[in-house]
Amino acid sequence: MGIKVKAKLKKGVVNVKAMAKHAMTTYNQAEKKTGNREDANFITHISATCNGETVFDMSTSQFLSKNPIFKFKFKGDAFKKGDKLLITWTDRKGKTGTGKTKLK
Amino acid sequence: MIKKLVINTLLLLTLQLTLQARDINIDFLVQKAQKEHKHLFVWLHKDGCGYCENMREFTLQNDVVKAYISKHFIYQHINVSKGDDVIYKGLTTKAKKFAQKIGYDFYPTSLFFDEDAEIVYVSVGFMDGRKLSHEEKFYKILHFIDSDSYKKMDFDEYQFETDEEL
Amino acid sequence: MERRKFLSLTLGALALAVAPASVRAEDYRKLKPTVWSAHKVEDAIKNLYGSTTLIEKGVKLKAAGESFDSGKKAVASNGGAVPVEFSTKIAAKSISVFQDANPEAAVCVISVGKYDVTEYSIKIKMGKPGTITVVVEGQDGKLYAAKQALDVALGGCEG
Repeated sequence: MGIKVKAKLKKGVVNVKAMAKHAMTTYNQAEKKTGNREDANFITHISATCNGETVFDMSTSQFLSKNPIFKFKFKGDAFKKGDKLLITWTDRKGKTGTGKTKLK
Repeated sequence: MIKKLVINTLLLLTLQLTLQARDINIDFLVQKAQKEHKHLFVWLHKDGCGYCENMREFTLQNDVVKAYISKHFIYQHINVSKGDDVIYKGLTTKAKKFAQKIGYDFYPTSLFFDEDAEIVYVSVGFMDGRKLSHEEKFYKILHFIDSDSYKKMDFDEYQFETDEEL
Repeated sequence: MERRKFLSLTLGALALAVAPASVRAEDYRKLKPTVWSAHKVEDAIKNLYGSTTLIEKGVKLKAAGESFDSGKKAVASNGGAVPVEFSTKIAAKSISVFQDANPEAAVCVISVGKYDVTEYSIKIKMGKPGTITVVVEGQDGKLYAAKQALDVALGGCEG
């Protein structure tokens, strides 16, 4: 399980908070640890869909915190409680992590 | 009346003297905490440190925080500027050496122990009780320990799970 | 070129240009690699948007609990996880975050979709004191921004 996620539909807006599980090692951190900058690995892209529709899309760098927490909102008119929210991250090495929840 | 005053003063002086030259037995305090279904919270500080004084005044003496600490923790402060001996895991060292040994020679620092005398959480540095975010965070740290959540998750996860604001 | 072909080509190009953003969500890491290697904030913005002209209006930014327009410097006690909140009411195509306290300037680029309510919160690493810049790429083609200076200091005394 790569992401913890919670979503609440309130007054026509869906509020989402998520915490991705990832070490987010920077190039500098990798160099210090193993001497090889290429050992750096961090999330480079995060996207979320609700009922298949894209509701969040962010390209990221090594400068998000370790186990990054992020919050976003999207218009709730087209969705209802119980709809499925799916979040996926992809990291520099091509690995992916996902999390899902139902809108509450 | 004067007799009472003299006796009280003498008692206070005696107490003061015994307090000044004492051992701080963390092993014993951990056991005491376990018996009382509490956790041990050790607060490291030193003389001449404004951050320590402010944290004591504005965070530790904050009504809400203070009440929670006395209810759920055995609290022990250690002033590393004093020559007190600290007994930890059977070994006796001077307070300052103890702090250096566990790797936290920075003040103030809050240490939390479990029933096996293991340090399960450390909060390094000044938490300013005058700032709402600091007060809330400190309170959250206390809850994190008291609820035994540290046994199942790290503090980041705990904050995420308990953050009411969605 | 045959007139018909030319017309359909033009219409095709037009259709692509107005396609809803959620269909064309960009992976900026693949699309604009030089954004991520740029050391200076200015260069990263230029590589991303082709311009460095910023209108400092219409963007809200709060870093380490301090709002950019408070006139105060924000102080983060944990450089590994500095909370950054930003939002805008401007119709946006993308929103990006930069800082000048790390080896590279770009932190993230959000591709704004049709469902997005443009209000976000992230936690970033700030290696040392610096300035965080949030840029909103408006649908009108202009760049709007807000900046917040940040100090990274853990209060306390060395042993």
